[in-house]
Amino acid sequence: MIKISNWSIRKQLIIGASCLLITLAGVTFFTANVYGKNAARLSFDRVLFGSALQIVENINLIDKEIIVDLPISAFQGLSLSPNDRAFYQVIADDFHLTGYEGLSHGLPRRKENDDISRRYDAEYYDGMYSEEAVRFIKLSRKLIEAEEQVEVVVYLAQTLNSRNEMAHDISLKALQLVSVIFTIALSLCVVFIWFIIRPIRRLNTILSERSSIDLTPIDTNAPKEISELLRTINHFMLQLQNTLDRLKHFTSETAHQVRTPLAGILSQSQNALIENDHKKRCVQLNQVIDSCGALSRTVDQLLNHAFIAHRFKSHPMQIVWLGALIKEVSRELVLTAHQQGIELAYVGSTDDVQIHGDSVALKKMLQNIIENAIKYSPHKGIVEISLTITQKTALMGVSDQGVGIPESEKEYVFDRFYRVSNNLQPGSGLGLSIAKEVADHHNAILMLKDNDPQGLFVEVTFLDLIGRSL
Amino acid sequence: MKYFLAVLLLLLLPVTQAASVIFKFEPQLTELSVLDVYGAADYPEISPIINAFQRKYPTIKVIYTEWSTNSLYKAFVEEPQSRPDIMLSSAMDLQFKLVNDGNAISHTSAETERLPDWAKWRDQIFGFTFEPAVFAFNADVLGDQFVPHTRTQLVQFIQQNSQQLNNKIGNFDVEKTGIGYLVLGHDRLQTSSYFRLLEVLGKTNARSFTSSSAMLKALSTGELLLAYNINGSYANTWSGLHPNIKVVIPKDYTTVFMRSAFIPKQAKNTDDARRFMDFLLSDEGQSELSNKTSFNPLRQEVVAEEKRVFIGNSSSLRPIPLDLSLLVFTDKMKREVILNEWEYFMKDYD
Repeated sequence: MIKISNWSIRKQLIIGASCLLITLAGVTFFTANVYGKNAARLSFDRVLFGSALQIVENINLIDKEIIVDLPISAFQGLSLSPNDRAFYQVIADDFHLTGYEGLSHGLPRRKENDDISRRYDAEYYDGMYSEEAVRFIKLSRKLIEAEEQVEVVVYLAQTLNSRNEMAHDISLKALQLVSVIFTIALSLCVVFIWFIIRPIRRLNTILSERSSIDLTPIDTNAPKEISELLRTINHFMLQLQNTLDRLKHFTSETAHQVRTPLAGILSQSQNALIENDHKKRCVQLNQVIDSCGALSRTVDQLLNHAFIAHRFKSHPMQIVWLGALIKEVSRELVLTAHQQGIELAYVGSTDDVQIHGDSVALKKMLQNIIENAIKYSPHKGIVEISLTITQKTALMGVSDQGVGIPESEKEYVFDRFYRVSNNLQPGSGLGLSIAKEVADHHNAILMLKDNDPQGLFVEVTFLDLIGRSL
Repeated sequence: MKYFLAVLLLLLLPVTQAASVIFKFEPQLTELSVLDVYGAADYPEISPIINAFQRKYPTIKVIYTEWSTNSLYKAFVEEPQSRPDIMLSSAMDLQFKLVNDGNAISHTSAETERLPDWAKWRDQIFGFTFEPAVFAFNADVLGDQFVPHTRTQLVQFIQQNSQQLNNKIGNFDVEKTGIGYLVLGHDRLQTSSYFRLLEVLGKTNARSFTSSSAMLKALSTGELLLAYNINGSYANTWSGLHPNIKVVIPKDYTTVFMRSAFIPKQAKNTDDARRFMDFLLSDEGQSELSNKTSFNPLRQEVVAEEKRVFIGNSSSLRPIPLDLSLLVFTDKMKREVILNEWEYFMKDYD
């Protein structure tokens, strides 16, 4: 089974246009046929009526005798149909006067009245006479002479060759006209369709001839629909280009980030190997251990990053209670904070909101943000976690009293492996970048603000709320 | 005297009863088929055509039955079981009515295609001669008098010479002669002087004849001085033989009638009938008509130069067309109207 929607557009358009044209042509032809028949009937009926009228007007009652003086013009009129036989009969009070005696018996039951001759009491019939189809007219008149009154009836019949020929002629002309119009219209349609389809073909040619690494924009000079498509393709290619660029950059950065500590570890280990002084060797080995820890954190974050990126592609969104999630993560980190002499405070409403999200990714984001806050907080500092729910948004905030981030660097901290210039704390430079990615994925806005009097205030605003508890 | 009359009646009886005379034309070669022709033309007029036809088709035997126009029509209507293969007659109206009543088969050929529209109808009936109705005078008696060329002039002429022309004008017996009736009926439609003409003909005791030949014979002997509406081709032939007969083609209008032919539906030998029809209309048949008979062929182009001059220069020719208007002349009440008028003016003569 072939789906019509999968046919070529050209084929669909041509079939559609043809169907429309054929229907139109059919309707036109049918109408013309009916019109032709009516026109022929009307015009030949008029001739018939004229002839019958002349005959009936030439019947006179003279001295109680009916004189039928057939006018030749009546028959000359009928001769306008050059190949038609004609028959007539004149009857007076049911008594045959002259003409074809059997004619009035050939009349069928059905009769039609016609407007043009109603006042003459004319009746028209279709019937048979002398083995041929004929059109009858019956016309009567009262003859009055003194007290005498006689009803005379003229029957006139003519065969149908000429009227059929006329009807046929009209139909034929209509058919010719319809055929010509149909042909012209269809040809025009085919040409137009070719013109319409041409940009699509051109696009196909351009794309198929393009090298696999060429992601430069395509010329969008095309009809509106096509140029929109082209812009979309261009946009898509631009994104692809960006992604490729980022990936390239990320790969080289990652290599650098992993290789540098490895090189440090290698040289420190070698130094430790040839160091005879036990104390110094211990210091060097501790450095190796620290470097391994830093490297391990970097690899962890890289894996986290890859893990989350993979989750985004493979796991559908679920419904997540945001408040509950924040509390859960906060609770998990309370101990870690406490060990470093930091107090973790949750200041939020008791309400909760639901969003579509990936709880694992969201947890990772929260962990990263809160861990960052803990890390940069001064001893005995307080990290405040808040959740503010408004009509349309849910605003999560994490504030610390650390050194904060200089305004000039705020825009770069989300870049991978970026470390704030005067940062003495160990870190991978991936934490905020992952958080930002998670926030983006949930259509949330991650913003860095300054805390009062000092420190950083990280604010994540969730826009797409789907439910709330009161 | 009584005996004589009785004998005369006995002699006349079979002749009047037998409406038709049969002539057989044996084929020159072995007889393969028989063509049955009914015609209203005299045997001497028709035989050259039949002979010429047989020269072309030597295996066809032709049986020609000669009728008067009215009896031919009557026989056709009353004896449907014995109909001929082809019908020839000068009574256009009667021939037409038979065709209108659905008695003819269609025939188309190169010959019929050439005919003008007025000389054929429905491809069933075809005119094959072209016979003008003319005036003829006896020049001996009339001398160098002014010769009338129109009916108005003719009426004046008769009025002026009524003494001399009394009893000396001939015209057709419209009651007995089909062609006379048709031509007179045509006059009635064409001219306003129709009734004045009837009036002067009646006043001068015009005599009725049943044939053109009889009138021409009377003209040549001086028995008649003027003949009205006689067959122009006959008159032309006679005027060639008798220089004292002067033929005038009316200038106001000249009624032209045609001898016509059709093939009946019941024809047994339609193939030969079609051959005969085509032969009649062909160059060969038409020139045969022109050269060997008194008939004037329909197709004037085949007529020899000296003969053609006869009607060639007249632009007033009014052929009676083969169309539905002929039905009027077959109408019995119309006939009564025309005959009543005619009798009203002519009754003085009896």
